[in-house]
Amino acid sequence: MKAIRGVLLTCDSAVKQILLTINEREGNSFIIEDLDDHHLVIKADEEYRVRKELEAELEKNTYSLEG
Amino acid sequence: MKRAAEGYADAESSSKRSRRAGDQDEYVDVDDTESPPDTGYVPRGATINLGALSRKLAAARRNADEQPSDSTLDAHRRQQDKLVSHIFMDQDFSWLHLKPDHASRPLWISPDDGHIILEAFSPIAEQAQDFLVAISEPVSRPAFIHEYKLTPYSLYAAVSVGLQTEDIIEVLNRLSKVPVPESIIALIRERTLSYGKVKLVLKHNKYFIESSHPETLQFLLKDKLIREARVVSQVADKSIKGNTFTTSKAPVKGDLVNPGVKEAEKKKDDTKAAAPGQPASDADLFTSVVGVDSDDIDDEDDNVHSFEIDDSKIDDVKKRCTELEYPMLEEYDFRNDTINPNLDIDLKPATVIRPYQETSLSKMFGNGRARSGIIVLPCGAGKTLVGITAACTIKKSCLILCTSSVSVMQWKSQFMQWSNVTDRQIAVFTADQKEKFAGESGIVISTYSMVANTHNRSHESKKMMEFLTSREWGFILLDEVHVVPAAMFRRVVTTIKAHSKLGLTATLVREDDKISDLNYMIGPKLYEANWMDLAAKGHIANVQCAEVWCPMTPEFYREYLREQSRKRMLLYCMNPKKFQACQFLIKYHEDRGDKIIVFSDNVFALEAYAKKLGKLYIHGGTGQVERMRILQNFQHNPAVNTIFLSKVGDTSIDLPEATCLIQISSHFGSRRQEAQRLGRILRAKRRNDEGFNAFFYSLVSKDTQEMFYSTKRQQFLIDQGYSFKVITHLDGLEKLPDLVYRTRDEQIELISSVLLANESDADLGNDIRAGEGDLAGTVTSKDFGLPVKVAAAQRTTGSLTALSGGQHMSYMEQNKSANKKLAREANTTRNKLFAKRDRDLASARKEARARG
Amino acid sequence: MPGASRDGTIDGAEEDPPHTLLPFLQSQSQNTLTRLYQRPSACLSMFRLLPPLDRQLVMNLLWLESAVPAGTMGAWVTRQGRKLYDEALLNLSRLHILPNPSVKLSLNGMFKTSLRQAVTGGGNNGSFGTAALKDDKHPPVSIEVLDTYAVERWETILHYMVSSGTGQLPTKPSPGVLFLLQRSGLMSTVHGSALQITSAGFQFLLHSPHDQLWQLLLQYLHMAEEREMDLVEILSFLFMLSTMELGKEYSIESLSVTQKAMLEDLRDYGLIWQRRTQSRRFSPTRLATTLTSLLPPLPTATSSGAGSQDQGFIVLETNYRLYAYTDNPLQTAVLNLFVSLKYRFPNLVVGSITRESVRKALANGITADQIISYLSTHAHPQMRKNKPLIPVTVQDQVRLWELERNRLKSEEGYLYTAFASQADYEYVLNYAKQLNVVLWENPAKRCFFGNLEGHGNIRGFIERRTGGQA
Repeated sequence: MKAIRGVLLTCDSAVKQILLTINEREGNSFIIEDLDDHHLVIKADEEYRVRKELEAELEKNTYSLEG
Repeated sequence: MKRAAEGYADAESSSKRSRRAGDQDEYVDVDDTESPPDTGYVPRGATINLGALSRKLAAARRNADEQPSDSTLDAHRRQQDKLVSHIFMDQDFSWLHLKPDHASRPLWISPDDGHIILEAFSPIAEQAQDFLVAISEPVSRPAFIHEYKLTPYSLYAAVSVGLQTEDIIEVLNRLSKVPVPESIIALIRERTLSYGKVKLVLKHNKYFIESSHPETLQFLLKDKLIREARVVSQVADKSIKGNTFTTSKAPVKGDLVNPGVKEAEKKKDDTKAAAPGQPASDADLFTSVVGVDSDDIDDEDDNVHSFEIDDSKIDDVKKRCTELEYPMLEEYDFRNDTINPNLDIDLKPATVIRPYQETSLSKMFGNGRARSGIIVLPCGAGKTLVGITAACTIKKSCLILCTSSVSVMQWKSQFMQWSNVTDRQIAVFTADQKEKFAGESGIVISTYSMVANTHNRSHESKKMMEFLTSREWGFILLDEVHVVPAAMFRRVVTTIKAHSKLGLTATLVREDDKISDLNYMIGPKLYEANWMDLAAKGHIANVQCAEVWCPMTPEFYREYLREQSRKRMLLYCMNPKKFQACQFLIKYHEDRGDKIIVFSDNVFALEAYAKKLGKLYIHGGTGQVERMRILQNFQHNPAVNTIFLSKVGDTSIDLPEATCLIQISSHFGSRRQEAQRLGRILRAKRRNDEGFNAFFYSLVSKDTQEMFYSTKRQQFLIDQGYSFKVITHLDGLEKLPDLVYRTRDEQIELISSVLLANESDADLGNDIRAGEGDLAGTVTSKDFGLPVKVAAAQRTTGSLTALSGGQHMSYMEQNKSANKKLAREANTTRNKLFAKRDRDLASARKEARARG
Repeated sequence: MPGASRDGTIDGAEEDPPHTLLPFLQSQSQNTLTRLYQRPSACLSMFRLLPPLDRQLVMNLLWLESAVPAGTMGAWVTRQGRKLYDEALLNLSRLHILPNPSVKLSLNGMFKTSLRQAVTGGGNNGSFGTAALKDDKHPPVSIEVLDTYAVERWETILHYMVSSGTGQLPTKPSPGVLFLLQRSGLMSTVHGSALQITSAGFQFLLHSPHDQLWQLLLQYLHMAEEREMDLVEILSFLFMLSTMELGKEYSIESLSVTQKAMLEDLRDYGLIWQRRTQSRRFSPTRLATTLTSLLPPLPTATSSGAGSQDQGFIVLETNYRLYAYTDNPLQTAVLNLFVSLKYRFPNLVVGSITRESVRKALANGITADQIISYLSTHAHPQMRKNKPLIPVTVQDQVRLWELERNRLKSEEGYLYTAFASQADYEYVLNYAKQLNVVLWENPAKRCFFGNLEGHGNIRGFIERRTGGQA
């Protein structure tokens, strides 16, 4: 039996896909375990960085209505 | 062509502004070193830096304010004020003085950028709006507060309909809560000083440069080019130089009546100006300045002065005047044109035009002549009828230019419908039809491409062009001006000799931002309608717009994230959840009795959706005959309630009965396209309970680039007052019987087929090729009437039973024998439907050939 | 809150939550409350704070000498109203206004006497304040001066809060106020730096002045409790102020020591005005006199053009543009929290609600509901034509922007995996579940995730188990 320290991420499937993609792109840098469609376990000290990357990715799809 | 700068460049010099009597406020004199300007002479290139000027005034005022005040509250406020002022930077205009009765005045003006903010709920809002639309560009017009913008072009338009500089300033002052800022007054004066002062008039078959201000003419004559273009008639006394202008009375509307205008409406308008509770003086001022039916517009100066110009030099003179910052208004005195033969056409007695159509025409014919310019009306509001009425008013030969062949046919049929024009009088010039009209005068309808493209003309084409260029047209009508590339435009305008030009469009917004160029080539904006207003009055449909967010399935999203090529687009289009949403909405609206059009710019997706959901579709590969059949079924067959259209549907096909529009894939961020698509259904007026009588859904795949483009496209409509509801969840979707792609297996199967597709399948509009005669991006097919070969597309069609009204829609894969069968059936049907037309066409051709 | 209507609905009495002071009072001892009820002004103020049904009950019983059996009163109550009635009784009993309501209904004697006095007048214990003698040297201070003072003091506090961190340098409120702001969690310092506004502080800014005032006063009361100051004295003073007359001057003679010590604080908050710090007299401002009433505590801006009682000044369009009829810099600063502002005219501020401006607010701890609520509460009268008040599309979009931020939730902990057998897995899992530390589980994969706190126990549990099996 093993107990692995980490951070449990809960999200919708689109976000999860983005995280998987980033992880793959970086050569498996932060995902410890892919639990299911909506959960991942990642390295604890990568959380902040991962969030920032996610935000950047999602930003690409948004257009501001500011005229 | 040099034209005045849109922006406000740095000031080199500025004229001295004196205190204005009648205004309570004192103005700081801005120093200058120049002497007061000559009337009629404006230094070239002198523009005002609004920003700098207003900042200077603000600073001066703040200095004045910083005196010890009795009230601690004031001191406190001032201190607090400093704390928020920084938020606004240059746009803190709180130093402007509020007039004591500001509550009864409906607008504010920004000294910095000429922005105007209007309380649309004010009792005098309607008149204020009429005025503002005449002098400025509407920016946004939702429910309560509107925004407009003063621009050089908008002021040009203002003077061109006869508004005088000081009147404009005076009315603005009356309407404004704060005194009109110095910078704005300067802008108005400067821009209206030279603009609209000079007209190019074709009168008694001669060209004249005309003006109410003789000093303006003198100024122009100082220019060598113009001077040399002048024709001096023999009678002139050569000893008196420079004063030999012909002087005559200013033109008045007199007894010119636009066909179709009801007398009752006219009477109503006379009393419209006086709003309840408003002081009479304001109403009078408005009527005289803005009044729709006013005949006094041009009566400021009883006399106009003119000199003649050699008509071979017209274009040069026009250019020169614009360079000198005196862009000429073009007017055509058609009632006194004795050389160009009349065209005896009129609107049919039953044809009645609506108030806003009448208003727009009155701006064009206000002084009895035909003014050149642009009229802006929303899609579906009846631009065609406006054009037809103008033609029937001028009653001279006219040329109509459209963006595509199908559009051409549409115009022709509308002419036949609303006016009494005969087949002999109207001719069509497209890739496969080159007709001329019988008789001395008539109407020709063609496309921009046909007229502007110079190379590779067939013999017949060349002859046609000679026909067009060798005569004088009383009137040229330019449909959908905002679409036409500027260069093409230029060619048209310089090749065709027309005495008046009318541009029709739904929006002045061009994607390529060449708005100013083309406007000056045609003329000023004569009229612009308010979309929300028209919807409220029932002239166009009241549309509920919604954006439906379809989450991507994990597999599709996975692939989307990894895909970098154009195929990305295919992935977010073919999202199974989007199929489901589409299916749901179709069922929902069919159950309600709506007629539905589903749009897709991407042909691959179009076919996939249509086949999966069992609906008829039309794209570039669909034959002309088949198209007509499908459309007729859509219109008349109660079993055919949904059709899928590709880009072919965009500009041209007349679809009068659709009440619901679903968009599953669309072009990147084109605002024009979104607005036009709405126009497809804006004609719908069948009422239902909810108050909305039309629906527009844009399906977007969540978390993809599609969201970005979708929001971008909506901007224009949002500014017109439409709001896009976001639907994140369709209630009851899961319960839909026969829901497509319900299982993961099916979804995976779909993604396999998508991944196998070519990259070119992801292209948009690739079923459309710009053919001879049609503008890119509009309906086209290379050989008009025969299908184009499309990559990876499979031609299919609804079963014949379906087309003849049977109950079942089933798709058959096309094979040779079925093809033949279809063709056979097609021929028989064709004969029935088109026999008469073919006969007419043949006889018209015969006649034209006989004339040579 | 009395008078504040949310979402443009009509003030439905049953819908309003009870005044925030009441729970605080209910937490006090019977003794404290009875002492408080010795003062008629306190009873009157309390009465004003009560919800309508409670008030009705009190009035019913006020003039009765003997008790009413619970059943008799209960017979008046309809079946639907039962719940509300019982709640009212509970409320009043907690305040010790109605001791023992399950048996008989009778007002607390002290309360009854004092309230009667308040209603009929009479008594001379000065609970409504002692009027100051006419001052020969100075005329009585004008209401205008009082209003100015109150507004200035109050806005200084708020403006200080809203400007923190923007690089602007507003006037600082007194140290006492700053301390209060900090203690109430509305502002905080990081590493001894200048005070910065907190998320609670941002939310505070969106509340009505009445709510804001009471939020601060409650904090004051809590702090007083800790300092073991006499709560009854403090409450009495506040209640007394709320019954005083605007524009009148009162003497400090009859104030207790505790109350005299409060004078400085009350000045700082703008509740009272004194000519000098050593003055023997004081005047309540509007902030004080409206403490328990429905009237607005601050004079409304005169140049806004809106009606005198009307708080609505914002027009929000379907295209996300916002037009606010205000000349008040503080209101402008508050709008700047979630609106992207563009132009400012003498009586109008123009801007747009954008994704950026909303996200900035969300990042500061303001919620989508608060933004929408603020817009609704301050909607311009013209907007009342809208159904609903705030365009649905804008509401939805603001909420969607909020949802965007919450797409990823995280929690630290441990992943327990690689169990030798299914039985092992279930055994440990059950234990963890009993501790309530399981965040995720999947029997098929034979693993689960537990939070940080639980780890020590689980590890201990496993060790004991394996140790036992050795």
